[in-house]
Amino acid sequence: MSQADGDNARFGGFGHGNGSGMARGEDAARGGAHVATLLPGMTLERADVELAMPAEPDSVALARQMVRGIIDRLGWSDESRTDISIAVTEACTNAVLHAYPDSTGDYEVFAWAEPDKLVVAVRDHGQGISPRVPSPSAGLGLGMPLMLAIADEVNFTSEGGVTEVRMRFTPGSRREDA
Amino acid sequence: MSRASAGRLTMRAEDLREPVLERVVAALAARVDLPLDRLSDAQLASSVLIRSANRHAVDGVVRVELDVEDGAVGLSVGPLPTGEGSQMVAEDVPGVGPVLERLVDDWSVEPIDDDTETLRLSIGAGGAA
Repeated sequence: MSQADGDNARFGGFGHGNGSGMARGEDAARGGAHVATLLPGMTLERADVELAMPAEPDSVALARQMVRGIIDRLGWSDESRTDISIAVTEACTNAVLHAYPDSTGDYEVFAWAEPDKLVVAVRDHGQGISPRVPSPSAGLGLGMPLMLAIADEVNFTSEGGVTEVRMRFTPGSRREDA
Repeated sequence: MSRASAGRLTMRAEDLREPVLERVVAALAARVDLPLDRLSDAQLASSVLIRSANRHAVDGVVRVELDVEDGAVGLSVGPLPTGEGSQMVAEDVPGVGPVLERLVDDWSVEPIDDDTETLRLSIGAGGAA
């Protein structure tokens, strides 16, 4: 796994350390990192739902609705549905805005659902994570802090030409002190 | 306007297929500015489609290609065993008749190979029969 230190354009300019993943809370607040412990057996081939789309702005709504449909079935609260929708929207928007700056390409959203947990991965085959460069599309830098605040665990990887953001949620994911 | 791919859904978990496709189709319908009644028809059609596809899926996985064309939403389900695409459209709901055929503007079956085919539905503002 390779991961850029410090600010980067792909993830809203939030310093995120050197590791492969972060749990919310102290590690994240310190910019520290730990090895992610997302559920075993969650291979791409066994995802419950997968949506592949062209990396275009219109696609983000489809990804958001895909996840909302899953949460409908899980029966989680409206608050959880809204929070998770925001986190997924941020991850997808990152892919759409930054993965293919000079070309077109696709990205995929994978979801694994269990009654009390939901894991969502957003993957693209674009330029990977790079140091933040000021640009009109860089955004406000809130994407990654939002994902970290909403998800129980967020894992970033960029290797072999694939960039992935994987987030784990539970029904009460949002931190009250976030 | 030519047909433009909007995405490809691959659904393994049977209980998630209907709520996911309903919501995704609604978003697509909004994208092409379908009137509200047709958006509702599109959701109903997707629901019927998934219930039927659950019975006809080749390998326990339902795949739906999504596209937009001329103000209509296109859904292509497959691969299905040859002959079952038409059967899905013609399937009767007791007392109601073939619901899918009534809800969609157009449908077609396109062969993939000798053994499998794809069922494509198009739902636009034109209105059901």
